[in-house]
Amino acid sequence: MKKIISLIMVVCLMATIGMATASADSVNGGTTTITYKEPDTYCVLIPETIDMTFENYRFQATDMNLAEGDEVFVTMGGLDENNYFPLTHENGVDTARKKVYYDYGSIPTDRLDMLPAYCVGYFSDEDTISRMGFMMINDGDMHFKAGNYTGTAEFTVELRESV
Amino acid sequence: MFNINFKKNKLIPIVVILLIACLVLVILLFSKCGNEQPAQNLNPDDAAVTWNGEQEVSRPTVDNKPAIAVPGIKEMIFIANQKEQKVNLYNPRENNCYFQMNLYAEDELVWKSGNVSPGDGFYDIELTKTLPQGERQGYLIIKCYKQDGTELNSARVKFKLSVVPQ
Repeated sequence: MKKIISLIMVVCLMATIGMATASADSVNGGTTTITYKEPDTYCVLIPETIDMTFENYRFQATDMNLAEGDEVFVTMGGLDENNYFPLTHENGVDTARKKVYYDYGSIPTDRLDMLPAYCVGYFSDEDTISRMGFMMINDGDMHFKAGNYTGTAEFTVELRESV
Repeated sequence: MFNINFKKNKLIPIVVILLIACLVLVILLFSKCGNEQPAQNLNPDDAAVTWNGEQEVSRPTVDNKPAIAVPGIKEMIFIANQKEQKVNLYNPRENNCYFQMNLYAEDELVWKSGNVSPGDGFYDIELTKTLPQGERQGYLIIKCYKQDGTELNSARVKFKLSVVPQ
């Protein structure tokens, strides 16, 4: 009987000590190191279409959460070697073209050489408005058939890690 | 009679110690649970209205021109030598167009979607072929269409495609 009671006492004592230790741990905290990498997120807004009224454009973005030094570039496809963008008349036959000019805005000068070809948008840090934009202008000596013209472009969006 | 009393006398301290141990245990248990805030009567927000499903929200625009929200991707990780893969590919709910998504590993089309409505997306996809381990350039070409089929501008999202062993 004595042995049984002693055993019960030992178990109770151990349980009490164990709980006290656990309680102390929760107060003082452990020394476990937890490493967690938050992934970059970003969402770029591109125009739905491009038409003759399209002149100035500066990309916007939402949910921007980039790692230090990471950059997002937006490039425009469909331009010829002279930076002309083709548009098609609503009759489906006639065509027009507008020339794209780049507005480098507030891009740091040391980043200008890093821009890919046909770059029309640039974001870094937590920018929600692109630091550069582009303009589409009619060449003065070109005359096109009256009417509505539209065109579609492919915009490439790319995140580059800092080097 | 004496014998029984003697036994009882020996048992009393043991029982007292046991009771104290149990008491300490109970106090510790209560002190752990005692951190919770006491229940209070909460008042409902009178400004809230009966929910009848989602309303039409404002569409993305840039300079008052309609725009398409294109989610960026930095890296996509696939498991080598299996077709089933986990992804996060979606058409943001604020868009007003369908997404047709085409996934490329280098220049090879490995998956494509049908017309994905705003607010819909994919968590699990099945590739047309398995990919060997290694890093390569990945592309997601997103073709955008209005509901009437009118083609809109499209997007090409470039990212690092890492194929890792299981």
